[in-house]
Amino acid sequence: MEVTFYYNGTKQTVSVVPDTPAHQYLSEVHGRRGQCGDGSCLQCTVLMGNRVTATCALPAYRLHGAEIVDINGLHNDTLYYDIRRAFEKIGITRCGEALQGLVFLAYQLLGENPLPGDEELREYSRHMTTRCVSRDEFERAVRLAGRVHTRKHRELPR
Amino acid sequence: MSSRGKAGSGPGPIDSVQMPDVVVPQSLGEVLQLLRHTTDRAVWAGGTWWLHQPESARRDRQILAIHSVRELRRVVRTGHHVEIGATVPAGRLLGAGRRFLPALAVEAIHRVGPPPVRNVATLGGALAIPGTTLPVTAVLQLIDTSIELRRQGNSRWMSLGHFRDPTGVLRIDEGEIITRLRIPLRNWTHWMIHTYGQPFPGGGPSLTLLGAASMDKTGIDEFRFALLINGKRQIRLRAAETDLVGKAVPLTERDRRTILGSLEDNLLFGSELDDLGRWRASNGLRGFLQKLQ
Repeated sequence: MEVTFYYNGTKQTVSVVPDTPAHQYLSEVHGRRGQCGDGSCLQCTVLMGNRVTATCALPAYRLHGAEIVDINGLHNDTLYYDIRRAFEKIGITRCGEALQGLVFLAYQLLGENPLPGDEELREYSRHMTTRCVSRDEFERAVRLAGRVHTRKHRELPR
Repeated sequence: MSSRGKAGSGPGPIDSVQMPDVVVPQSLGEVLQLLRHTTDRAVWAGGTWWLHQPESARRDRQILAIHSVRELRRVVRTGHHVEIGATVPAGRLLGAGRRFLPALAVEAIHRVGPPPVRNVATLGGALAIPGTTLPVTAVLQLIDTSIELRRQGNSRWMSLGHFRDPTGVLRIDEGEIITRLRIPLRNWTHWMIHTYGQPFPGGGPSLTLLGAASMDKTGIDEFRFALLINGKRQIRLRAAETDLVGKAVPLTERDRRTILGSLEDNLLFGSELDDLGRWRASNGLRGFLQKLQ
């Protein structure tokens, strides 16, 4: 069965078995493969409709008509830029495979609330199982990115 | 019979390609009509559970993918309850729902999985897993959730506690699907959810302890306690729960011993749990009772 979707704005058509996980087909497009199979390692995550999605938990048929974005598709996004700068400032750059997933978690969280409280941050960080980044580092980076992004986009008084 | 549909939106039009193995209806009427004519279809909401099943469990059945059905993606709140469409992603419920859903339900929805999975998984799908009860299902049962089952020309509401028979078989008729969940918006002042082991299918032995209580000025207004053993068997202490209603806190030693005794006398407690499991369950209940003071 063929599914057609947009990946970083480019139309892709892939032949899939519909009731298998989508990540094995997307790995042909972006070259990454997840390891865990349950969404916890973050390596197979993408943004689908602005929501961070584990493609190991996504049936392949759901790719059809979807708009999928990875890191390369966010180059012109100011929120993404602020998140990356914050990650670099806090020191979250050493996590190669899961970095994209961490960025997407931050992207979704700050998209919902640019200044998240402790409880909201914990809702996201509590599921982190990556060994290269601590929860505290992630939360600090998200807070920093949110503050910077909010300050930049606040209207200046006349 | 198949219908054309898209799994999501894109920056430009994508020709609706017929997917012979997957039907993606856009309306509830279409779903019910399809189920009426052919019942041998696998109904997938998010599909996260089915993906981890052996291929033999899902082969040779056309998939009826209901994630795009707009009527099943609504959340409606009234003063007394919230009605959630069966295919609302769990992640979406935690967004706005955090402010009005009972805290115990919010915590249970968290445990559906990490955020990237919660954006795909649905509560309706979690409730309908054959042969397995997830902790989120047990929590929703504990707080008196009911579900709507619909087929073409008929709909009925049922308490979630009656949705499975004692052997775990779903009490769902041919042509029916779960369309809505109704969660009472009760204020539980004390609650507990604690899981030992991996509660997901294929994860090995697990034990989940659940407790919910609401207190008023005089004492215990409502009390619930349940155990979920290996995702299959549940223990509720309904008689003992009722006995505690109206009791003042702190509870007397006699009241504590009565409810602990009713747990230890339960047949499943002795037959389904090993020594460690029994110890955990008893201590969990003891600890929860202590929290009520």
